[in-house]
Amino acid sequence: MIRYSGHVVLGGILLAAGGAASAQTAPEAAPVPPGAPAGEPAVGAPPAAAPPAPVSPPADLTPRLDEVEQVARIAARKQELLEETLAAKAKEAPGVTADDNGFSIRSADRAYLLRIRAQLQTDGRFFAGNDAYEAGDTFLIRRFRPGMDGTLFSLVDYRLVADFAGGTVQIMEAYLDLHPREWLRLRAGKYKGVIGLERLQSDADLPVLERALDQNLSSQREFGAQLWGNVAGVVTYVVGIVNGSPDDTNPDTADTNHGKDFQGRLFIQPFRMPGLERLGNLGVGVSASTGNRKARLPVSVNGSPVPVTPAATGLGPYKTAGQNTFFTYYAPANDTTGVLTTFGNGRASHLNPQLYYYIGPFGLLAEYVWSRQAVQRGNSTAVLTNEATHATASFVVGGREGYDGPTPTNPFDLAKGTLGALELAVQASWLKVDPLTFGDPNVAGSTAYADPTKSARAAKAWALNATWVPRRSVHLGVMFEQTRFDGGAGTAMAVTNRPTENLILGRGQVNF
Amino acid sequence: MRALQITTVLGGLVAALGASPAHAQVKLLNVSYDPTRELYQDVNRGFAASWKARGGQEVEIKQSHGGSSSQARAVIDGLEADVVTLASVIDTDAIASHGLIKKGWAGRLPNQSLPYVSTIVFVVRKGNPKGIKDWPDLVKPGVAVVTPNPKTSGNGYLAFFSAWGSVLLRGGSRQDAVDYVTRLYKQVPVLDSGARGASTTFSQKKIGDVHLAWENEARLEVQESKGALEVVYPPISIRAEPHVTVVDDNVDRHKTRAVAEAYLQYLYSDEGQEIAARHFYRPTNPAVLKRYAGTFPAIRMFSITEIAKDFADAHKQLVAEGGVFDTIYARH
Repeated sequence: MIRYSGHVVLGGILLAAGGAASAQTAPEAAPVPPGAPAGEPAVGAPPAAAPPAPVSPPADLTPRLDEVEQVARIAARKQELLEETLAAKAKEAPGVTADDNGFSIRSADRAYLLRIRAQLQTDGRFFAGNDAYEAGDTFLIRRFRPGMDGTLFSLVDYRLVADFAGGTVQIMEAYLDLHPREWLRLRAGKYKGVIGLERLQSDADLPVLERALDQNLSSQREFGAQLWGNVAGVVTYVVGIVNGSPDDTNPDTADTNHGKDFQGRLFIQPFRMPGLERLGNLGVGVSASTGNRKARLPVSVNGSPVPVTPAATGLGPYKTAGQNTFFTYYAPANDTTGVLTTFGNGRASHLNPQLYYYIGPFGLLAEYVWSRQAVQRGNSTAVLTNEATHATASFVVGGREGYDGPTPTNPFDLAKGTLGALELAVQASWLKVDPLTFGDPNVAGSTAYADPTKSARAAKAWALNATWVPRRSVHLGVMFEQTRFDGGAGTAMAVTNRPTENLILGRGQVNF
Repeated sequence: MRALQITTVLGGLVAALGASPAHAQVKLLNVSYDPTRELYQDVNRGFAASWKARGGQEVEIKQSHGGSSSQARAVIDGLEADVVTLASVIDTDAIASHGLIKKGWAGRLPNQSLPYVSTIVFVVRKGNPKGIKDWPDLVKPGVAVVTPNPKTSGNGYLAFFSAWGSVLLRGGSRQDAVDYVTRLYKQVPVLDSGARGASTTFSQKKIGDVHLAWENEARLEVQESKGALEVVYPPISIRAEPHVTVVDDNVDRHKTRAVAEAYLQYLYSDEGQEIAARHFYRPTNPAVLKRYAGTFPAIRMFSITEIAKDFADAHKQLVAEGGVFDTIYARH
């Protein structure tokens, strides 16, 4: 029937066109009187008859009509195929995306990728209950880190991140990651080391706005190279060699000693095995590092004080969440001989058992850090062991918790009336400095490596945090953290405890 | 066959022991060419039941279909195929050349990894109004031929090889063959990218007088046409060899090697061979083929080695970049 109708239509087209064929076959029309409007029936003409029944075209027209019909079908099919081709090519065209994960450009074959990144944290940091601390009340830019990462020819990932907060520019990360296989990757450059599970978590994803006390015992970044990879999505391993940065520091320059640290990490996520995903995401692991940081002794130039930066001494200060230093080794600014300054000289080792567990809206992260450091002051040496631990529990109302931060089930959207998620967290942490740091109590006149009236022997902190997460890229959080100290104030004859620090911190964050 | 069954059972045991937990679901992706959709729907159902009955896990097999060469490209570019069941060795070798499939893959399964073979036949309109019986009839004036693009489709290049071979193996020279395919492709109004698209062009869009199709696709097309189409077997056509293999890189990463290998071995079982025959693929098990002798008319199915060194050589000479097809198709 379709074929027949097609013939009729096409026949009509040919007839209307007045071609030779139609001239031969069209019925003669009734004569039209002069002056009658075109298209109107002639006066006196018989009334319009019922529509004529469809008439098959004459047999000698059939082949031609078939031919015309084929041409029309071919043209239509070619148009369809052209549209399919264009649609397929559109999929293969280089892609530009903009969403909560940032802005990216990728090649059609996905072999090349460039992502533009940025992290901005604006803080209001306030202290309560102590005038000395309250003097530090301030608004500030905590982090401003534009960056980029991506992939080159499907083989090399790269990442470049700089921090502009604090009025200086500091390279936070700059590395390449060669990955012939997922289980075999080579990273080289400046990146996070292996110590500190919370340290390895992105600043933007922390459930409590500032890191816990135990992160004082891990370096912020390292220069070096590491082999690492993920086996079957379950086992992550790292083996590497790095300069060995002082604890809680971010080195800007090359190493000042010839010793290097060896680092390793093994992290297992058993519920990543097929069929176990519904049990959540459990990760259990251990990180370790060791190296002989045989430092060059601080040297005075023309009688000026020796340099006492962490890069020079190999020893970093310990800070609270409010960024107040509560522990530092002796490093007097006026030491022109170097004998008054404590510096790292010998083996430094870390051990860091760690775990996390995330299931639905719930998250738990806990770890312990053991740090042993050989130090020297004057002619005295000691091997000091510091320890710290922390645990954080979090719950996301209206979303899912993860090591990569909270994900709202319904991201903020006024049009849809959705508000995002609320992340609630509680954290406890503790850090204890080796008592020998302040001299051996059993040996009269023994050397102290830190001032007990300025540096605390221990600190304990607890924190509560609430963060509204309208979308993954935007966080608005507030936290309260109280840190109590053992020692760190008073006089040499009567050491007292540093005042308790009560921190109230508000933060707005954009991260993509 | 007994050794095959033992291997299959052992594969099942290994997979069952290796799975954790024992009854977790396992997923496979079979990347195939256009016309095998219906075949593998039945194979998947049969294998899933058979695998479970042997103590294996629940298995879910997903299918991906398209032009064979395009599918191979997709696997090379990262489509996570556990097995590939493509139109010819050329496409499978293309994946192997990127290291995703181990060398010597064809020898890992019986009959050079060919559980079934096929050929290229003609589909014509009811009553065969243009009187098409053989390859020379395709280039008669007024005959419009539908066949997919030889550069993107297994059906496409196998039809080209068949046309080429039909001249050479009847005593024609290379120039005769070039002249023939030149005339032939002048009479192709639309070049679809894959076999299924060409079927649509011919049977649904009603374009052309003859469709050069896989035998199974032709039979299916005729079945669905309810009498509007007929199959014509030319006296000579190519022996098409759609090989099957696991994609080593992917199955090792997915931990699916045992079940993927068992899946392909199932194609050689009596049950798998029967399914292939019912879908008009010629089983390579002689006993099953004999049972379906009435389904598969005997024609001369020439080997690719009669017109070239192998499929790769034929592809390079005839349809690859700068090959015969480029020169003749560019002319019009």
